[in-house]
Amino acid sequence: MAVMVPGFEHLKFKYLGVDFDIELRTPVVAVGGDSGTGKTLFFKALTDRQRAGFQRDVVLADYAVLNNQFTLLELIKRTENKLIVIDNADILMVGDVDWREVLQSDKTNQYLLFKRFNSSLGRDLVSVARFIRSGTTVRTKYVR
Amino acid sequence: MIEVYLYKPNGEVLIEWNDSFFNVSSYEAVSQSTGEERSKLANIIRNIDGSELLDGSDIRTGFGHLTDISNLSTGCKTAINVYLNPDKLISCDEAGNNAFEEILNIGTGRIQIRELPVLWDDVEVDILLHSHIVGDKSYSSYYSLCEEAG
Repeated sequence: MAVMVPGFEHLKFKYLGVDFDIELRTPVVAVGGDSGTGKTLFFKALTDRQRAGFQRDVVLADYAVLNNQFTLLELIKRTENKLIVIDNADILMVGDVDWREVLQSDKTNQYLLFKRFNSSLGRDLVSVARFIRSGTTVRTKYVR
Repeated sequence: MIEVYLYKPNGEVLIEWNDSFFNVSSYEAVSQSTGEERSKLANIIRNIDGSELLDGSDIRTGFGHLTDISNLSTGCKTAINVYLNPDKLISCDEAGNNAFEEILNIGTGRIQIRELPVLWDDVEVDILLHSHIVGDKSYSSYYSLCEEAG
């Protein structure tokens, strides 16, 4: 199954005045919870950090980049040894693809999913967390 | 009354990509809103995102950033889409629990969601629930509505 990629246990940085303190405890973490807590801002932060050379080994996918689930599958299949961050995962990870099987059979990548509905992936595979915003700090809180 | 579908009705157009729909449709309506409607929109934005609606499409976010409404959360955009388009069927799968609660408080509209979220606050709702749920379930009084659904 998915693995922890070195360097991605804890992501801590400042972006546009916001302090992110994001702990990734397991190879597959699903972040849901309330709207407006900084999930998309974090996604943008990783995008900018990657483009600016401050963050390596991250692959970012959302529905602005991908327009269907099969394109996401292709992206995953050709990616190795990376943290794969999927925004809009509830829309992208549906349909005929067995996403649990995809994550279980992936031996090299780590996953951060912005996703509310996780029952199809299984409690044994996914750790569930929320982003908690306090002032200008965003941190993770694990539900399970 | 707000209609809540737990499945996608056959033959209906479902607005699933709320970000895109907001950007091409609701954005202009919010930007040009006035009076009571603008006040209501401002409340939605404040309650969900903690952002303040300023002039036109400008907002000050809960993080203190000055930006515009295109940077609202997807959940907030979803709520605004529901408020401005009560006749359209709109997916709320990407709306967080706080946004979903705000959508119920709007009181009119047609929404679809994969699963009913557990709402910790006691919310008075006036909804018509459409569901295919079959079998014995034990729910709180909120979920007991499922037993009456067709």
